[in-house]
Amino acid sequence: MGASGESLLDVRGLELEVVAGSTRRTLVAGVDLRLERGETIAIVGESGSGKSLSARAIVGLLPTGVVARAGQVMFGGRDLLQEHPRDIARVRGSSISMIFQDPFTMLNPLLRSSKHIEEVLRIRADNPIHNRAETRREALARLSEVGITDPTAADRYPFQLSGGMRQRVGLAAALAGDPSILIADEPSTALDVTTQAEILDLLKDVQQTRGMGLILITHDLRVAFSVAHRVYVLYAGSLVEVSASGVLEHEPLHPYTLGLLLSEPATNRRLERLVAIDGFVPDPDEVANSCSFAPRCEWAAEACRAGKPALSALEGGRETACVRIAQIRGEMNARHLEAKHPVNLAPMPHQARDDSPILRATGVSKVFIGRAGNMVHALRDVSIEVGQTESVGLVGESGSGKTTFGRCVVGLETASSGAIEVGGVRSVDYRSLTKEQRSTVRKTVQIVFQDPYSSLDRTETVGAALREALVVNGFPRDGAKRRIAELLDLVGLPAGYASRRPAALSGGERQRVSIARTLAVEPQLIVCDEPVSALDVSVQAQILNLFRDLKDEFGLSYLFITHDLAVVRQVADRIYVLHQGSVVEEGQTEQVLDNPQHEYTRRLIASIPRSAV
Amino acid sequence: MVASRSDATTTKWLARKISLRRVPPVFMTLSLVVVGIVVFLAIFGSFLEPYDPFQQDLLDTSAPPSSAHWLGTDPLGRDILSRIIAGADAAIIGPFIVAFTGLVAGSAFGILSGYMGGTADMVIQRLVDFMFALPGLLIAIVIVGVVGGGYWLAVVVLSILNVAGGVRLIRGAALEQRALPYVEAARTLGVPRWRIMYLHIWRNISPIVFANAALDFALALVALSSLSYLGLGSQPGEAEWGRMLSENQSLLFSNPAGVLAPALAIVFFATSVTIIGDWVYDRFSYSGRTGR
Repeated sequence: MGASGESLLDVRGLELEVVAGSTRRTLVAGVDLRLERGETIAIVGESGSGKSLSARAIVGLLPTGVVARAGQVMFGGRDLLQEHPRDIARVRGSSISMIFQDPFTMLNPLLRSSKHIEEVLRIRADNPIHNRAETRREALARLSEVGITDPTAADRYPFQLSGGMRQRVGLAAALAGDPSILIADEPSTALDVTTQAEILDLLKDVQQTRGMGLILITHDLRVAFSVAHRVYVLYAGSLVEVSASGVLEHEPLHPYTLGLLLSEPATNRRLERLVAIDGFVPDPDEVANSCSFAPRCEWAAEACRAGKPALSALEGGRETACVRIAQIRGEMNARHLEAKHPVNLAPMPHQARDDSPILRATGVSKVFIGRAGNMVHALRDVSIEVGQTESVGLVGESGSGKTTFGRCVVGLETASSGAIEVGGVRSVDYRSLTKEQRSTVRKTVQIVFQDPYSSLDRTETVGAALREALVVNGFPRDGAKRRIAELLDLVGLPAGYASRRPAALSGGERQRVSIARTLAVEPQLIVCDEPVSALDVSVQAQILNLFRDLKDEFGLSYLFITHDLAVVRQVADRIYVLHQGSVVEEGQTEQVLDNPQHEYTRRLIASIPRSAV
Repeated sequence: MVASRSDATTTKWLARKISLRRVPPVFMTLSLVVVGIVVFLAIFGSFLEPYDPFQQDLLDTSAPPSSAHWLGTDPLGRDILSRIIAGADAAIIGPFIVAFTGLVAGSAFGILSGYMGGTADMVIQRLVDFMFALPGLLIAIVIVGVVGGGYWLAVVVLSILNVAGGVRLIRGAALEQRALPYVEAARTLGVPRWRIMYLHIWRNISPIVFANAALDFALALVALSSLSYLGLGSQPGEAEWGRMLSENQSLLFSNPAGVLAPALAIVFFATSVTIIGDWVYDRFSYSGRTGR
């Protein structure tokens, strides 16, 4: 707490809970934040950490049912938590404004983009502008501040703009009131990699030119390091570490931060094994009287469970909630160093290409008929091969056609032209296959989807889902029970999970069940459609390790569809880069990522967030 | 994407908690009591009726409530309380048949239409369009009027007319489920179509199906009563609430209880069923995780 004088924003002991009838559930258990003038802070945490709610509490935008149980939000000498909603509404937009994750729902679909800004300009208390033309001119100036210089864009409707453009319009609207604090809630998460980098750069620029305070909420440490001066790490509703972003990256002082840093897949090299944090984020109430990370911490001792540790100050203004930091600091540093400079730097050995690939797609094209009757080319003449026990990455941004291709391979979509050969069955149209041929395709290739929450039938137990997969593929009913236990064991779940319903599982566990379900038919190839992108970083590493283990054990092949270059480096032997439906580059993973030939691949790689220091 | 999930989870949890409270427990209890009483009367009513509901007593007509006749007597001297009790089964059986037909046919054609798409969808939807174009109650009045009326005829006509709405609603719900990964996973695993439709999809949309059936039940109760009131449903002499309403109209000043009783019976019963349907939907349509 080095700074003297009054901070721009000072949040003290914020506690949030949700009240429904007689039940109360803690969502945030004591958060302190300080934001100085001209400073950028990042609140980093996984799902359930309470990061978004804490930010919403500042501007009085808590969802119905969530209330502040304790704490102060000091801004301009006032405690915003005590203010009347009407007065907070006046603060919002003028002094503190906010932009959100989803650029697709943030704007009013019926308003042209400049109207969003004009509206804010008009309601400003200090509105110096009175006539329409002036307001319009000002709105155009505001749009150019966020990089929209094309005046025709100001007259477009949100649906006519790309995701990045919408996020820019949203930002311009948020800045129209000239706020002294901007809260950005995952502003880049829903965007493509290349756009993500542009928006983050823009935020950084705007913050510096305006000298305003910026609160960035993110789950991604790399994003936090690249934008923020200081980072607040939130875990299960309480702060575990506060630090300047540069030193935090070099030396995390809380086991959770260390785990988070280590489980982030490396962008620049392939690791022998990803470091994962076991288990998942607990409910704040479960860890109300102990260190919130203790259940998952390898260094946890009696002292950690004796009570909820408060942040304690260390040198250089750093704070940590770890009570054992003095004892374990050396060990943690060693672990961090070891991971940064791994002994084994050699890339995974690649198998030679064989002549009988499991999947051979030649000249696959897919045309959708768009809403207005125009043709949308999702895939253009795509040829991809996946060999025996080979793991192939299919990389691209949204709209590149990567998911469409995966769906064509498993028969969920039918290619317009070209041929797909799976397990010796060659088809142009999956629907024209005979029953036997379809069965062959099914037993050769299966798919794992992105969203673990809707991949399982919520009315059905895990056991029933696996049993169905077994029985419809001819597995004898009487042996099914034992096989279900085996399948669960393969994906690292106890056999008792068979009687659970999806609602009782965490995201990572659900994804494990989805994988077990595909293994039920003993496929040779699994199409993985963004299987880890909906998961928290610490869990993501667990699942990526599982994919590797299964490959080693069964000689599986993967077609790994992802937008995440760090992930693809960890799992793929070979990569295809897809751009607007065409393969623009292919080759060995290291070769493509370290020495990209195509201009688009270079842009993709350049847009991975890097720390500012 | 990670963050959106965390927010979504919190919001879903809240939505569930709040929607659970949308029907206040008092109304819910009252509704259950009302439905319970009507069902009880329909089953055991014949033992409870103080008088024979069809026995006329022309010497004691249009009498106000008394200790002998709690709700008084109607213009033909029949005991109104006994007739209300006797009318309970007509209030349950007809609407139940209408709702059940809607549930079965609506699920079958709705899921078929939504999941299969293509020609099946086209044909079913054009039929539904056609049925929607018909003025329902008017058709019922005309048919029942021409053929000569009768409670069962009215039930049959309403059952058929009611199917279209269910088909359209359930088709929409099935379409939504069809695109979800769990259905696509089942498809790639080779799960037979009928099993996907009637195991996975039906089970997942069943809260909507049952809530809709409850609504159908209430609407059918009102529609049947209306037809009876107009003299097109149940035949003269039958104990049926809608019919009693028209028969006892002349009692409005001499014995108000005699008119109010069947009217309130219809209103309370229909409302209670609707509230229960709402509650069923709120309670079971929650998807997502519920803690660990």
